[in-house]
Amino acid sequence: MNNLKVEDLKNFLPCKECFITEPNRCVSSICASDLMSEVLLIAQKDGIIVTNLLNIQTIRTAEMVEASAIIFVRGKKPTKEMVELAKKSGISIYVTDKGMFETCGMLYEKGLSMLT
Amino acid sequence: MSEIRLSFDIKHNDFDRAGAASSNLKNSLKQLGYPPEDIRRVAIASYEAEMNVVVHASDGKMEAIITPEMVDIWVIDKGPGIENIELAMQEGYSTAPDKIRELGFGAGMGLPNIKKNSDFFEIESKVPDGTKVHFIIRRKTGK
Repeated sequence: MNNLKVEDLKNFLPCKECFITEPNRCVSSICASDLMSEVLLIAQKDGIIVTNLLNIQTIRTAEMVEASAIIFVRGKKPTKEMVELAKKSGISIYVTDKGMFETCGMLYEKGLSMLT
Repeated sequence: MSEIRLSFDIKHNDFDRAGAASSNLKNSLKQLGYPPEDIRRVAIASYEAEMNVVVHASDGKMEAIITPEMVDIWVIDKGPGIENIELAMQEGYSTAPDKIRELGFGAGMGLPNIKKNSDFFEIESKVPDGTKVHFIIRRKTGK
Protein backbone atom coordinates (compact mmCIF):
# COMPACT_ATOMS: atom_id res chain seq x y z
CA MET A 1 0.00 0.00 0.00
CA ASN A 2 1.40 3.44 -0.87
CA ASN A 3 0.50 6.92 0.30
CA LEU A 4 1.46 8.71 -2.88
CA LYS A 5 -0.44 11.73 -4.04
CA VAL A 6 -0.55 13.19 -7.53
CA GLU A 7 1.73 16.12 -6.66
CA ASP A 8 4.39 13.76 -5.22
CA LEU A 9 5.23 12.52 -8.71
CA LYS A 10 7.15 15.67 -9.53
CA ASN A 11 9.52 14.98 -6.64
CA PHE A 12 11.03 11.87 -8.20
CA LEU A 13 10.01 11.86 -11.85
CA PRO A 14 12.08 14.14 -14.12
CA CYS A 15 9.35 16.23 -15.69
CA LYS A 16 9.57 18.41 -18.74
CA GLU A 17 6.11 19.81 -18.09
CA CYS A 18 3.31 19.16 -15.66
CA PHE A 19 -0.29 20.28 -15.39
CA ILE A 20 -1.53 19.42 -11.92
CA THR A 21 -5.26 19.80 -11.28
CA GLU A 22 -5.95 17.87 -8.07
CA PRO A 23 -2.60 17.78 -6.20
CA ASN A 24 -3.88 15.88 -3.16
CA ARG A 25 -5.63 13.14 -5.09
CA CYS A 26 -4.35 9.69 -4.07
CA VAL A 27 -2.68 7.45 -6.60
CA SER A 28 -3.67 3.79 -6.57
CA SER A 29 -1.66 1.92 -9.19
CA ILE A 30 0.07 2.04 -12.59
CA CYS A 31 -1.45 1.16 -15.93
CA ALA A 32 1.27 1.27 -18.59
CA SER A 33 -0.01 0.78 -22.13
CA ASP A 34 -0.29 2.37 -25.55
CA LEU A 35 -3.51 0.52 -26.16
CA MET A 36 -6.55 2.36 -24.81
CA SER A 37 -8.69 -0.77 -25.25
CA GLU A 38 -6.38 -2.41 -22.71
CA VAL A 39 -6.46 0.59 -20.35
CA LEU A 40 -10.29 0.41 -20.34
CA LEU A 41 -10.04 -3.23 -19.36
CA ILE A 42 -7.43 -3.15 -16.61
CA ALA A 43 -6.94 0.39 -15.23
CA GLN A 44 -8.04 0.95 -11.67
CA LYS A 45 -9.74 3.97 -10.20
CA ASP A 46 -7.22 6.72 -9.30
CA GLY A 47 -4.50 4.92 -11.26
CA ILE A 48 -1.75 6.55 -13.31
CA ILE A 49 -1.75 5.87 -17.04
CA VAL A 50 1.78 5.74 -18.46
CA THR A 51 1.69 5.94 -22.24
CA ASN A 52 3.30 6.93 -25.52
CA LEU A 53 -0.10 7.49 -27.11
CA LEU A 54 -0.78 11.18 -27.45
CA ASN A 55 -4.28 12.00 -28.67
CA ILE A 56 -7.59 13.25 -27.33
CA GLN A 57 -8.82 9.67 -26.80
CA THR A 58 -6.05 9.10 -24.25
CA ILE A 59 -7.65 11.85 -22.16
CA ARG A 60 -11.18 10.51 -22.76
CA THR A 61 -10.08 7.03 -21.72
CA ALA A 62 -8.49 8.41 -18.54
CA GLU A 63 -11.76 10.22 -17.82
CA MET A 64 -13.83 7.02 -18.15
CA VAL A 65 -11.57 4.90 -15.91
CA GLU A 66 -11.27 7.75 -13.34
CA ALA A 67 -7.49 7.94 -13.65
CA SER A 68 -5.74 10.41 -11.35
CA ALA A 69 -2.93 11.26 -13.78
CA ILE A 70 -1.42 10.56 -17.18
CA ILE A 71 2.33 10.43 -17.76
CA PHE A 72 3.31 10.96 -21.39
CA VAL A 73 6.73 9.40 -21.91
CA ARG A 74 9.56 10.27 -24.35
CA GLY A 75 8.76 13.97 -24.18
CA LYS A 76 5.37 13.90 -25.91
CA LYS A 77 3.62 17.17 -25.19
CA PRO A 78 -0.18 17.36 -25.07
CA THR A 79 -2.07 20.06 -26.95
CA LYS A 80 -3.88 22.86 -25.13
CA GLU A 81 -7.18 21.14 -25.93
CA MET A 82 -5.98 17.91 -24.29
CA VAL A 83 -4.81 19.76 -21.19
CA GLU A 84 -8.16 21.56 -20.89
CA LEU A 85 -10.17 18.35 -21.23
CA ALA A 86 -8.01 16.65 -18.60
CA LYS A 87 -8.42 19.60 -16.25
CA LYS A 88 -12.22 19.39 -16.53
CA SER A 89 -12.05 15.76 -15.40
CA GLY A 90 -9.61 16.38 -12.54
CA ILE A 91 -6.79 14.52 -14.31
CA SER A 92 -3.21 15.75 -13.96
CA ILE A 93 -0.73 15.45 -16.80
CA TYR A 94 3.02 14.91 -16.60
CA VAL A 95 5.47 14.90 -19.51
CA THR A 96 8.80 13.16 -19.07
CA ASP A 97 11.71 12.54 -21.42
CA LYS A 98 12.16 9.11 -19.85
CA GLY A 99 10.86 6.04 -21.66
CA MET A 100 8.04 3.77 -20.54
CA PHE A 101 10.31 1.17 -18.88
CA GLU A 102 12.32 3.65 -16.83
CA THR A 103 9.20 5.63 -15.83
CA CYS A 104 7.47 2.49 -14.60
CA GLY A 105 10.64 1.54 -12.71
CA MET A 106 10.64 4.87 -10.87
CA LEU A 107 6.98 4.48 -9.94
CA TYR A 108 7.55 0.88 -8.85
CA GLU A 109 10.37 1.98 -6.55
CA LYS A 110 7.86 4.28 -4.83
CA GLY A 111 5.55 1.36 -4.12
CA LEU A 112 3.23 1.54 -7.11
CA SER A 113 2.48 -1.53 -9.17
CA MET A 114 0.08 -2.68 -11.83
CA LEU A 115 -2.50 -4.04 -9.44
CA THR A 116 -3.12 -3.08 -5.85
CA MET B 1 -35.95 10.85 -9.59
CA SER B 2 -38.43 8.79 -11.60
CA GLU B 3 -36.96 8.29 -15.04
CA ILE B 4 -34.61 10.40 -17.14
CA ARG B 5 -34.04 9.77 -20.84
CA LEU B 6 -30.94 11.01 -22.65
CA SER B 7 -30.16 10.70 -26.33
CA PHE B 8 -26.87 11.39 -28.13
CA ASP B 9 -25.87 11.25 -31.80
CA ILE B 10 -22.63 9.46 -32.64
CA LYS B 11 -20.74 10.27 -35.85
CA HIS B 12 -18.61 7.74 -37.70
CA ASN B 13 -14.90 8.64 -37.82
CA ASP B 14 -15.32 11.75 -35.67
CA PHE B 15 -12.44 11.07 -33.32
CA ASP B 16 -12.39 14.59 -31.91
CA ARG B 17 -15.92 14.22 -30.52
CA ALA B 18 -15.72 10.49 -29.78
CA GLY B 19 -16.41 9.95 -26.10
CA ALA B 20 -18.47 13.13 -25.69
CA ALA B 21 -21.74 11.17 -25.34
CA SER B 22 -20.31 8.92 -22.63
CA SER B 23 -18.80 11.93 -20.90
CA ASN B 24 -22.20 13.67 -20.86
CA LEU B 25 -23.90 10.56 -19.52
CA LYS B 26 -21.23 10.23 -16.83
CA ASN B 27 -21.68 13.85 -15.74
CA SER B 28 -25.48 13.47 -15.63
CA LEU B 29 -25.15 10.44 -13.35
CA LYS B 30 -22.77 12.40 -11.09
CA GLN B 31 -25.31 15.22 -10.82
CA LEU B 32 -28.03 12.69 -9.98
CA GLY B 33 -25.91 11.35 -7.14
CA TYR B 34 -25.26 7.87 -8.57
CA PRO B 35 -22.51 5.99 -6.67
CA PRO B 36 -19.02 6.49 -8.21
CA GLU B 37 -18.36 2.76 -8.74
CA ASP B 38 -21.59 2.36 -10.71
CA ILE B 39 -20.84 5.52 -12.73
CA ARG B 40 -17.42 4.11 -13.62
CA ARG B 41 -18.97 0.88 -14.96
CA VAL B 42 -21.50 2.89 -17.00
CA ALA B 43 -18.77 5.17 -18.37
CA ILE B 44 -16.46 2.34 -19.44
CA ALA B 45 -19.26 0.30 -21.07
CA SER B 46 -20.85 3.27 -22.85
CA TYR B 47 -17.47 4.58 -24.07
CA GLU B 48 -16.59 1.17 -25.53
CA ALA B 49 -19.97 1.05 -27.28
CA GLU B 50 -19.62 4.63 -28.51
CA MET B 51 -16.12 3.95 -29.88
CA ASN B 52 -17.44 0.88 -31.70
CA VAL B 53 -19.83 3.11 -33.65
CA VAL B 54 -17.13 5.72 -34.34
CA VAL B 55 -14.68 3.04 -35.53
CA HIS B 56 -16.84 0.47 -37.32
CA ALA B 57 -20.28 1.79 -38.17
CA SER B 58 -21.89 4.56 -40.10
CA ASP B 59 -23.61 7.06 -37.83
CA GLY B 60 -25.55 5.94 -34.80
CA LYS B 61 -27.06 7.04 -31.52
CA MET B 62 -26.89 6.27 -27.83
CA GLU B 63 -30.02 6.30 -25.70
CA ALA B 64 -29.89 6.01 -21.94
CA ILE B 65 -32.76 5.60 -19.50
CA ILE B 66 -31.76 6.43 -15.95
CA THR B 67 -33.91 5.29 -13.03
CA PRO B 68 -33.07 5.08 -9.32
CA GLU B 69 -32.40 1.34 -9.80
CA MET B 70 -30.47 1.12 -13.07
CA VAL B 71 -29.05 2.69 -16.19
CA ASP B 72 -30.45 1.11 -19.35
CA ILE B 73 -28.40 1.91 -22.48
CA TRP B 74 -29.06 1.25 -26.17
CA VAL B 75 -26.42 1.98 -28.79
CA ILE B 76 -27.85 1.64 -32.27
CA ASP B 77 -26.03 2.18 -35.57
CA LYS B 78 -26.98 2.19 -39.23
CA GLY B 79 -24.67 -0.51 -40.50
CA PRO B 80 -22.78 -2.27 -41.93
CA GLY B 81 -23.58 -4.84 -39.20
CA ILE B 82 -21.50 -7.67 -37.77
CA GLU B 83 -21.25 -10.86 -39.81
CA ASN B 84 -20.27 -13.18 -36.98
CA ILE B 85 -21.29 -12.02 -33.49
CA GLU B 86 -19.73 -15.06 -31.80
CA LEU B 87 -16.33 -14.12 -33.24
CA ALA B 88 -16.82 -10.42 -32.39
CA MET B 89 -17.44 -11.39 -28.76
CA GLN B 90 -14.11 -13.23 -28.54
CA GLU B 91 -11.39 -11.26 -26.75
CA GLY B 92 -8.73 -10.21 -29.23
CA TYR B 93 -10.83 -10.62 -32.37
CA SER B 94 -11.03 -7.39 -34.34
CA THR B 95 -11.69 -6.20 -37.87
CA ALA B 96 -10.40 -2.68 -37.17
CA PRO B 97 -7.96 -1.27 -39.74
CA ASP B 98 -4.37 -0.32 -38.79
CA LYS B 99 -5.32 3.37 -38.71
CA ILE B 100 -7.67 2.67 -35.79
CA ARG B 101 -5.06 0.60 -33.95
CA GLU B 102 -2.64 3.52 -34.21
CA LEU B 103 -5.23 5.53 -32.26
CA GLY B 104 -5.10 2.96 -29.45
CA PHE B 105 -8.28 1.08 -30.29
CA GLY B 106 -9.32 -1.98 -32.26
CA ALA B 107 -7.76 -4.55 -29.96
CA GLY B 108 -10.86 -6.71 -29.99
CA MET B 109 -11.70 -6.04 -26.34
CA GLY B 110 -14.67 -3.67 -26.74
CA LEU B 111 -17.72 -5.96 -26.72
CA PRO B 112 -16.32 -8.32 -24.03
CA ASN B 113 -15.54 -5.28 -21.87
CA ILE B 114 -19.09 -3.93 -22.22
CA LYS B 115 -20.38 -7.33 -21.08
CA LYS B 116 -17.89 -7.42 -18.19
CA ASN B 117 -19.06 -4.05 -16.86
CA SER B 118 -22.79 -4.73 -17.31
CA ASP B 119 -25.39 -6.73 -15.39
CA PHE B 120 -27.28 -7.45 -18.59
CA PHE B 121 -25.93 -7.47 -22.14
CA GLU B 122 -27.40 -8.35 -25.51
CA ILE B 123 -26.39 -7.66 -29.08
CA GLU B 124 -28.34 -7.95 -32.30
CA SER B 125 -26.88 -7.34 -35.71
CA LYS B 126 -27.99 -7.66 -39.29
CA VAL B 127 -25.78 -7.12 -42.34
CA PRO B 128 -26.04 -4.49 -43.85
CA ASP B 129 -28.73 -2.83 -41.68
CA GLY B 130 -26.80 -2.31 -38.46
CA THR B 131 -26.19 -3.31 -34.87
CA LYS B 132 -28.07 -2.80 -31.61
CA VAL B 133 -26.13 -3.16 -28.38
CA HIS B 134 -28.26 -3.14 -25.25
CA PHE B 135 -26.80 -3.22 -21.75
CA ILE B 136 -27.95 -2.48 -18.22
CA ILE B 137 -25.93 -1.43 -15.19
CA ARG B 138 -27.84 -1.88 -11.94
CA ARG B 139 -27.21 0.38 -9.02
CA LYS B 140 -25.22 -1.70 -6.56
CA THR B 141 -24.84 0.64 -3.65
CA GLY B 142 -27.14 2.82 -1.50
CA LYS B 143 -29.83 4.94 -3.14
